[in-house]
Amino acid sequence: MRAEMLAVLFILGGFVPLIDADFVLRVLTTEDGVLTGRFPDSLLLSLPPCNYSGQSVDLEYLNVNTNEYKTLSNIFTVNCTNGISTAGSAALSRNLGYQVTNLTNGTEYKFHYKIGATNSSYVLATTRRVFDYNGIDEGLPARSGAMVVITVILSLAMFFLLICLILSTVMSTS
Amino acid sequence: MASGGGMTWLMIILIICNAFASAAGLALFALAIWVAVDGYRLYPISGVSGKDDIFAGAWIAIFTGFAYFCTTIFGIYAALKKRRSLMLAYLIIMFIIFIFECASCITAATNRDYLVGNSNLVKKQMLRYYAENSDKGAQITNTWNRVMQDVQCCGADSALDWIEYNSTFRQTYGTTYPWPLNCCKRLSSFEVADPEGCKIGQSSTMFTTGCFNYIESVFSRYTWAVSWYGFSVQMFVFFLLLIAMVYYTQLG
Repeated sequence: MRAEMLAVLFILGGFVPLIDADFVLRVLTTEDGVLTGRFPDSLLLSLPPCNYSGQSVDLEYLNVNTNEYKTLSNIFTVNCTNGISTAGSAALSRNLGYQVTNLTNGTEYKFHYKIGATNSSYVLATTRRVFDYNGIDEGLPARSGAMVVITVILSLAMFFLLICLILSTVMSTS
Repeated sequence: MASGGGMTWLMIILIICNAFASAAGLALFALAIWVAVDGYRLYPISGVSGKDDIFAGAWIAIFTGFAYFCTTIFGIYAALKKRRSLMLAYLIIMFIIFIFECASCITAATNRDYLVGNSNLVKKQMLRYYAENSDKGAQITNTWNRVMQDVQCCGADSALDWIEYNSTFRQTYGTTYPWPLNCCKRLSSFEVADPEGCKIGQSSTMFTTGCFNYIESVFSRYTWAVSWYGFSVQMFVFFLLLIAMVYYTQLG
């Protein structure tokens, strides 16, 4: 009985971010037709749904590490009829998403749209960390079966032939 | 010493096996030339890393293949003449060639594992030398540009390699373009089909698969040609030499 109540509470709790929100915001993934939504210095966010067509959108985001708020006003206008946007961004002109640029790598951000009085849900996203290529270990990964078989069998064959050659020379002179 | 009939049979077997070995040696010669010519033009990837012994093995196999061809023909002559001195010379020369060919097979097989055992070496080399302003950089850049366009791939494991790691390309050109333009699909006029789409990573405008599978398959093909075919020639010559030694001991 208690376990079921707990389960229901957890499920209801999952909807908390949406309570104040009118539509969902998320980072783009491969299902949206892009290679990735997370770059080291930018992120691709999904667009608001078409019922907000014609309205201009603001984006507010928080850098979780430094606790800095930033607001980008009037970044684009929701447009569902054709693919041309006012902001000129590549992702927008294809109705794919909005690319937030000038981010720092390896940092967590919290985004949400504001369209007039309505807010989207919050999304937590981290930009990619950039690793140094000098850290890639290029040593021998493993010895393959081919290497072992060829080396062992040929070495034995060489040795055996040498012995037989010496023996046949010795045997025929005696 | 042995009966005349037995010796005649042994001589005939020796002559036939020598003829077969001469054909096999000539085929090894031709195959090793094919590897050394490097029709896939991927030599810079192994040359710049200093691990180019697959090609060194191919050069040795050119020598040993042709030497097997010539020496086995001499062996046919030595078997027909039934002279001990000729047979001994044949055995010693064949044994020396055998040792060289062993070296070639072992070297080629071992170096393949260093080079393409996993994608790390190829990936690190690409990140370091692509777009670098040096002779090695020029070779790697040209090779990768050609591979990415011909094979329709990007990066070593995938296009994500370019954004997950720091690279000379990123340091030289900044982050405007996350990956080189050769990762983008092009029209037949060689213009990039959709530069803006390629910049944000739209999957329909660029190549997303990695090039490492192709590179690994080419180097493996070269290696199997030199090492495994060389190994099979060696096994045949091994038994041929054992028969020749028996014939030698029964002579005179």
